Amino acid sequence: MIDVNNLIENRSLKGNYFAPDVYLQGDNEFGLLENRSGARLLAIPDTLLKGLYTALEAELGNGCGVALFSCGRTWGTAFAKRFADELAEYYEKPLQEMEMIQFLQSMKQCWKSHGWGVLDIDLKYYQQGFIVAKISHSPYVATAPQGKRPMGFLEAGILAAFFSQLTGQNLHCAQTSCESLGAEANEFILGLGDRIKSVPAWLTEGHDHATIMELLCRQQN
Amino acid sequence: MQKDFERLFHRAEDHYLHPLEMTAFRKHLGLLDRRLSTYRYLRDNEGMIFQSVADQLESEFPDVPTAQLEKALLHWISILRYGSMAMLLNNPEYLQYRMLEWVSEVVSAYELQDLETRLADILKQNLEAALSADDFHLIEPFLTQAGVTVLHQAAPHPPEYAMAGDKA
Repeated sequence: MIDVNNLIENRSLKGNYFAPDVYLQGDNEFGLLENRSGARLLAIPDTLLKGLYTALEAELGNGCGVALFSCGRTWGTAFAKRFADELAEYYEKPLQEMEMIQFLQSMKQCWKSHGWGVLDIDLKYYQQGFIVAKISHSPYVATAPQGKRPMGFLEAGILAAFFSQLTGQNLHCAQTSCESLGAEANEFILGLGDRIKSVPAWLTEGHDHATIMELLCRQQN
Repeated sequence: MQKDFERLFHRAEDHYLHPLEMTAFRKHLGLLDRRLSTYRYLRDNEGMIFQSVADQLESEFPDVPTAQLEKALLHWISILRYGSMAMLLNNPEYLQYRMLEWVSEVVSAYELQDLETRLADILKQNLEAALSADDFHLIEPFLTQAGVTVLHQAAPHPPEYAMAGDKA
């Protein structure tokens, strides 16, 4: 028989740490923006992002993607640590003890409250060694040059860092569809570098995300 | 901050409140007092309210593992806690962002919709029986809001009316 009083005492009843009305705080007078734990937040104007893409493309050409990926990865590593610390403190348990669904919900809400678009994580291919992430309404892609190539390099770097921290493996991330090329969302595949190294070549051959997933899984078998 | 009070405070500015505004203010104060007493009832009787829900659920779903039942119960204990505060603040967004959007995907992931739909029904019936009609109407819109978001139930009224929270 369930004893409700006992249940209430021993389990967490907390909801969404990243609820925007409480997560984002600030002091207009001082021009400060911070999150509910007091960590500083930075508002990035579209113009700055556009300028970043233009400057990097002018300086590095196609190498711009590698630079952006690397920035995303470095920054994402620090962010993943802060994410883990803040969640552990709020829910009063380490990230490792958190249920997968709670972790994923936190990550999605975190993404949304920071204004990075709507993230969805698909673990259908987890057993084959892949995680699929889908981001729509991405501000990073919206401000990037349109109609050229997949432009979610920053996000790919952040995702790679995030899931590398989580799984303890050095994961890489490849983008397979992009809003800048007219797709509904930006899709990313995460996996060990060796296993997803063929993705760029398949993209060049014109394969879509679904076909690439099929090819990857076949390669594993 | 209470949205209904906020409107009056902002409107006042350089003048004393007009008689009609004073009447509105008094009405909101009365409502706040009733919300507070309903809140206190829900707070003080949480264990009893949910024990009765748990007992009924266990007898209706003998084959469902206890862990599943507990999970579902915890969701609705949380929903009622956040919902009660939303009622007190007269702010549906409080419940929506802090709890409902969060828990709805968890319910789907664990495939608890059927169980939780029945749980929500029992909870609603028990609260309706325990509270006076006026007090029940204060918390009801938030239970409805939870049903719409978490269990994908059809909204019985246009959302702005269902979520107004000051129907009574």
